[in-house]
Amino acid sequence: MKAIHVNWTKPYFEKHRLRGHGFETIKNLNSETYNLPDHQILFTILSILHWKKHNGPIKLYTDSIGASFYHRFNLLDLYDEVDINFLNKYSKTDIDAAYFWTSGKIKCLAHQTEPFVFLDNDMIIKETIPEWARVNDLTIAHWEIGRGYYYFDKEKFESEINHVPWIENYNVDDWSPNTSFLCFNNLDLLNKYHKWHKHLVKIYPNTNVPEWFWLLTDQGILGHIIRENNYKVNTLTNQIALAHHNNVDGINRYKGKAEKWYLPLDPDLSKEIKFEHVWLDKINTQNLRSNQWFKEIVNDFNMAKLFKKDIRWNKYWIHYHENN
Amino acid sequence: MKIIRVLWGNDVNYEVPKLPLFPEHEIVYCFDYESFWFVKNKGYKAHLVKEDLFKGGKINNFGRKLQALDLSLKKYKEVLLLDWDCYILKPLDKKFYNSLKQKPIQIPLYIQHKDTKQAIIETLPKSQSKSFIKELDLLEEGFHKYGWQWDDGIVAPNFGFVYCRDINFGEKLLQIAIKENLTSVVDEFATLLYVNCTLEEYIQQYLPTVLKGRSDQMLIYDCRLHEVSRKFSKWLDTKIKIKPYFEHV
Repeated sequence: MKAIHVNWTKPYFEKHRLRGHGFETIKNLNSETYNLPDHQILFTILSILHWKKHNGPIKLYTDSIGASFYHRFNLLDLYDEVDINFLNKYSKTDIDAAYFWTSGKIKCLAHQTEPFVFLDNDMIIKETIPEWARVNDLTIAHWEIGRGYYYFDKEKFESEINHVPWIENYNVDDWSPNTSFLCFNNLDLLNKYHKWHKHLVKIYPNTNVPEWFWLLTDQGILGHIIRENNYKVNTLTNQIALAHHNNVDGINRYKGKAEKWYLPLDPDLSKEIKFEHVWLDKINTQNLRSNQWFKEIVNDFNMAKLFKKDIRWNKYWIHYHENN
Repeated sequence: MKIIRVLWGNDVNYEVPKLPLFPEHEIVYCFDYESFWFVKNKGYKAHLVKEDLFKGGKINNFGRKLQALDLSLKKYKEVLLLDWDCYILKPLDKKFYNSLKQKPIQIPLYIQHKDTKQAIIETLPKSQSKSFIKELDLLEEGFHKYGWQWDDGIVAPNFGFVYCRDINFGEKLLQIAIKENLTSVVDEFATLLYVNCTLEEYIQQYLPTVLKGRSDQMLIYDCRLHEVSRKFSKWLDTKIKIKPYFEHV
């Protein structure tokens, strides 16, 4: 089954205005030129290699800057196909790439003409996608319970958003689909998603849009479309993620600290797919397993050649040789 | 402006990206059929050079860059010749193009240690081939003969990035290279003979402000070559403000 990755670099060059809590590492890079931290390169490689191993071809949508960077670090040849024209062209439009950094991705999704899988670059699928994920209208990674800053209600929407009216029937209490993995089986759903996204991101120049709004244009509106059209959705896991969890190991559960994952009543545990979504670790960078990922790429995938050329990997080689 | 790439020898084929990174602007000059079809199959627009003036293998293959520069300037009038390991780092905006307008010929600088051959060998794995050692002898000889002495090093233009809108520049360099029977980095030595000026004058007249000849990011080792390169890079920073759009690794 064909998957796509998207790396749209235009948001990077407006990183001082960039929305999205997952971008703290990027915002903190003291560089006017395009760069990515080591761990992002490593988990992108793993996402590609695991997909190819278990599922099939993978295509990259990026732009000239992204392709140049991926080429330098030997990622470009890992893809079965690469397109830079589509996003180069999209970058010339007046889309606010800092506020709506996922627009490049949604444009690429809308460009597809047959069922496919979209993977975030930090989404690592560790087994073959089974047949049940390829029926129904859509398969998502999992559902999320919105909470904290990204949680809004009608009153907040109407007081902070001026360029579009309140979305009729939008229910802020419903779960939101996590979009790190999307298997689109129904392309009508995809068309509706694209139209809604375009409608929501069409702002006047210099309009100030609050931080929480981008997530509505990406995940929130997809959930709304699913419910309004009664689309049938599968998930890679039965577990539901809680936004803004504050208890990693369960030790503080007794005093009401919130954990990340919750299992609903009567889960269908026969439908669970092994995956690793780096996601929250992107923010919590001390938990990153960069050396382990490096070792996995070198040993399990026999891809030492990816790290031979650039001095960026010297420290990983030292760690590798000291521990093997 | 066209972006010119050159397949000047077999060693660079592995550096060619699987698709053109600048699809509307990129042209590749090739010197044999295999290379021509190799890049055509990847989607590049390519020219096959009819007469190869530099058939001496690694002794003078860099001269092919001069041929490509000459041919492309005659055809396209304004070009940016880029090595395959010269990576774009940010969108080419108005500031970039304005910086190119400042000088009709722009080529960055780099430095080799005055003990050129040994200083390079120190940075490489042991047991290099005899032919490579011979190439380093020629490099050292040329740097000492044509380059600018600076501290413990010798400075030369770096042909990894060449901006030019002087359509006779390539031809003049070619004439110099052939007349002087240049070897090793033929392109860079020819440029040194062409400019015939002091290092300070070169900086004023020819140095671009959009990259360094050798990326600072690569200068991490505790060795003579990287030491003198770091020192030279810092000195250059005092002479001219460089805002990188490209990185030559």
